[in-house]
Amino acid sequence: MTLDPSTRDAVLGSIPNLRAFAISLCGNVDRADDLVQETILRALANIDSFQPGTNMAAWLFTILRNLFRSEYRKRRREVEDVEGKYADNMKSQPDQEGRIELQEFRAALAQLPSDQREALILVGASGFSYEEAAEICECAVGTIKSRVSRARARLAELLAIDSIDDFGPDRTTRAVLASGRG
Amino acid sequence: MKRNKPVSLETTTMRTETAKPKLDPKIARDIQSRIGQQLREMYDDVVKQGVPDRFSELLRQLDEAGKNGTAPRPAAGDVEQGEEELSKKGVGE
Repeated sequence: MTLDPSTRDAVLGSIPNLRAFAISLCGNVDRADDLVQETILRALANIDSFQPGTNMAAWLFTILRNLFRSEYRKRRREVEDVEGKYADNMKSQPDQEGRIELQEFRAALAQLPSDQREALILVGASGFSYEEAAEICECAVGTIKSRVSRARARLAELLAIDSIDDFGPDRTTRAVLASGRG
Repeated sequence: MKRNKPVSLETTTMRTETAKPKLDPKIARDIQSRIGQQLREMYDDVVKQGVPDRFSELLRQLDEAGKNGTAPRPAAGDVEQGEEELSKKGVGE
């Protein structure tokens, strides 16, 4: 198999997005990078089943998601509290600029059920259409729409708890105080 | 003789208190736009890191292997499971 330059460029170009998605799925940078690597190997080994002209990014995301889910099923037997682990990982992500708001956001995101989280990320951050997200998650478009809207509602609830008055000028001070508690 | 405990009143009160307050639509919109913004910010933090060396190196090696006629194989042991699943539906539409 020779690696077609246009295929290679498409794969290379998708890597930053694949990593961002992978990190949001498993909440751990090292595992996410391993997942991206497996995805690339798997994709290139099966490149013949990719239909030229269709969405390469969506195809790669589908592979990555399937790999993650089969690994997740395997690990579920070993790891007791997968969601809890995920939450811890998300909280301990290094935040280069020390943005407390973003840490709060990650913590809230970590509380969502994983199917809602992935739908929200595909549509709200990766920039996929509802149709593409449905293809990636192998479900109906309506299901994606409802997951995204439930995710948004739940996040609003979680973030609004201490943010009704967070829109004021005092926000930073509050955030600092709040982080001091935890 | 006591027959009735004043329990029902208490539960009713609790139920009303835990009912979600309706958010002001303006605040709800603000929160939603902040959610969208923070979601992208979080995601873009990773995207901005570009392609780590390990991946450009991997693709370079796969390229070489391809030119030399050696088919690249996934590293042993990493992806045995999910194989059938992928060939069934994951790869290609």
